[in-house]
Parts: sequence; structure tokens; C-alpha cells
Amino acid sequence: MNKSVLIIENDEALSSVEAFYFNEQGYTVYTAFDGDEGVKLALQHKPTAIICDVIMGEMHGFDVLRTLRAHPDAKNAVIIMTSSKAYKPDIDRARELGATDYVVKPFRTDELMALIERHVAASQLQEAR
Amino acid sequence: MQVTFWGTRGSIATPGPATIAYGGNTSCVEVRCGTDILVFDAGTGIRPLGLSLMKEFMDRPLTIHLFLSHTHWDHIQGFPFFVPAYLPTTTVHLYGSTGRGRPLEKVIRGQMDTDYFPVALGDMQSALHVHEFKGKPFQIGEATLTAKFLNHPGMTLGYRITCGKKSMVYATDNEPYQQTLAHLGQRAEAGRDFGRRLDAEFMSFIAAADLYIGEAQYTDDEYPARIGWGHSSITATVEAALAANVRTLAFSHHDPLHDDATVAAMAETAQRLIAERGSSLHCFAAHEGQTVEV
Repeated sequence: MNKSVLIIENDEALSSVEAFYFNEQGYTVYTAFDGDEGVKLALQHKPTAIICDVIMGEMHGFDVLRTLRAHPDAKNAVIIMTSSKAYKPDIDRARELGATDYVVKPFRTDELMALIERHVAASQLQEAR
Repeated sequence: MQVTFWGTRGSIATPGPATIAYGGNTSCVEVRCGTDILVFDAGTGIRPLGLSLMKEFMDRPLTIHLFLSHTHWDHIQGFPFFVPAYLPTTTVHLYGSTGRGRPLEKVIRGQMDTDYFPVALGDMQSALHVHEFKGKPFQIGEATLTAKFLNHPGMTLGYRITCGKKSMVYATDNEPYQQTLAHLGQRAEAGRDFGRRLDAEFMSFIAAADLYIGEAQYTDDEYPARIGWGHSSITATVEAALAANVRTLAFSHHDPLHDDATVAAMAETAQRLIAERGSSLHCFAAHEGQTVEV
């Protein structure tokens, strides 16, 4: 099965590291550096999973999450929020808005990939039922 | 710039004899830059500011530029009692971050829902214009304002104001990333290192400010039990000001459990630390009603 991931991250260095790793592991990688662009790419490509930073420029991660969850083409997507903000109220809000998971920076890219693959497998199992 | 502290308390208003010296009203600072009136946060301190502006302006047109750091109660609760906002001769420009998945205007409107307050936001007769921070500076007359997201729950901003040759920073709700990422993140050592990098970005933001209005909600003894609450210890704030070559540090957002004697003792702790470093940093605990020239 063709695997794809969309990375929505305004830190270009971090985005490059993530993109390189996922690409090496056989993923088709899409990258966006702002929320608006991220929403467009998410709806255009319907990737297997979306990794989305919380604080960005024009459109923040919480708005990306809310927008995608309201769209029929993305309401069941695997969306992992990432942030250097480690506060429980922020994590709780992300979950209320429908985040599949929330990962605090710094994270190891291999662990992030393993987390995504677990969520994707669970999601596919759910759909099969 | 003329800077007046109308509210210096954090979390919740604390009127009473134990807080007479430093004040009980929550966050609100007025900055005059030329003829422009900039206000930072709308805690309960904005109520007496409103009354003062009414005396000064009477029925003359009044324009207020109100910058919200974030929308926790202690930073917005005074707005429904800000009398000028009820007058058709007033224009309020409200600035801040979008909420977490909700626009700023909706968050402010929510506080004045009829379940919580008898007057709706839309019933205020002033002209209200909401401006969400989108990464670009704001220009208000002679003043240029840049903003930076701080380490505090919610979408919390600090502001740097440049007016002529002077600059000041208002950043009252902030905790060092190196603490939260080491203690709340998934890996302690890497988190501390990553946090140091993010804290250095904050120091660049406050660098060489003529006035840095920061916070010291906790004593050094209290802080370890409050890691992850979104605030700093007195030593952390003084250390940041020293590292950033700030000229004057005013610490505010005093903890509601801190009486006047405790705040005064924290100011002494700060002075000792500054003296030990041989620094010329001027530092004081902000008190309600205090005006300083920058």
C-alpha cells in the first residue's frame, strides 16, 4: 500500500529532517510551511497521516485541526499535533478538537513514525469493521 | 513613553489590607506613546483606567489600542467594566492571538454571554475592531509592536514596543521552556537542551529593552512545586533580564498568595542577585498606580 505523510511545520530545518526520514522509509512526503497551505495539501492529496505543528504563522495548528475535522474528506484522517508546548490544557484542547495524538518536541522521528503507523493500523481496522 | 501600572496581580484580584502596597487588581498596563494610548491586558485594573480616561477625555473622541496577552480571566475580566467601551465616541482596537480553534472575537464575546454578564459585547456602543496577530508587526502612530508566543497554556503573546529611540517589552505570563520540556516532555535531557534554545529566542526578544515588564509569580522555593503552571520564579526572570542586557526590569503578575511583605522580599532577592553579578540592571516590583518614564 502506498504510504504518504503531510508535514505542516514552519520550522524548515525540522521539516527537512522529518521529510528525509519518512521519504527514506518509503513514504510519499508532502510539506507545508503554514496552516493554509497545509489544509489545501491535506484535501488535495488525502495523505495517510498528517503531522501538524501547533504554533505557525497565518493559520495555527488548532485552526488546521478544526478545519480538517469539519471536512468530510479529512474527518477521519490520522492527525498528529506536535509542539514545544507541553501543557496539559493545550494537549486536552487538541484532543477535544479531534487530534489523533499530541507529541511534545523534541521527539525522535523514528518514534513518531512508529506512533503514526500504530494509529494508521488502528484506523484501518476501525474502518474495516 | 509613559508607562502606568493599573493592575499588577496575577490569577485573581486580591483586594484587602495585605495587598495595599502592590495592589490587588489584575493585569493592566497603560502606555502613552506620543498621543497614542496603548493598553496591555484588560484585567480588573482596566476598570480604574477607564474611569481615569473618562475624567481626561469627557465626551471627546477617544481611541484605545488594547493588546491582550491571552484570554485567561485575569487578563480580560475587567473589559466588561471598561466604561469608555460603552460610549459611541470611543473606538477600541483589540489585538491578540486567535484562540485555540476559535477566533479572538468569539472568545471575548463568550465572556459577555448573558449567562456570565448582563451586557453583551455587541451592546457596547463603542466601535470595536479586532485584529488577530498574524506574525507581522503592528504600527500604531509612532509605535511599532512586534509579538512573540510565550510558554504558557493557551495562545499567549508577549509584546515589544518601540517608540522613538526607546523600547519596552510586556511579557507577564511565561515559563522557561527548559523547565517544562525537561519535566513535562517525553525526554528530560533532550528537552532541557531544546528548551534552552527556545529560551534563547525569548532573550533575543527582550534584548536591550529599556523596560522589561516580566513576571515573577513564584519565589525560588515555591517554583519547583509549580513547574508546568506557566509562570516563572524571581531568579529565572532576573537571570533572563541579566542575560538579555535589559536596562530596567519591572516584575509584575504577583501571585495572589503573596502579601506585600512577600513581594518586597522578592524584590530584595532580585536586588541581591543583581548586586552579586555586578550588574547595573535596575529592578523593582511593580505596584498599582505606579508611573514610570521610559
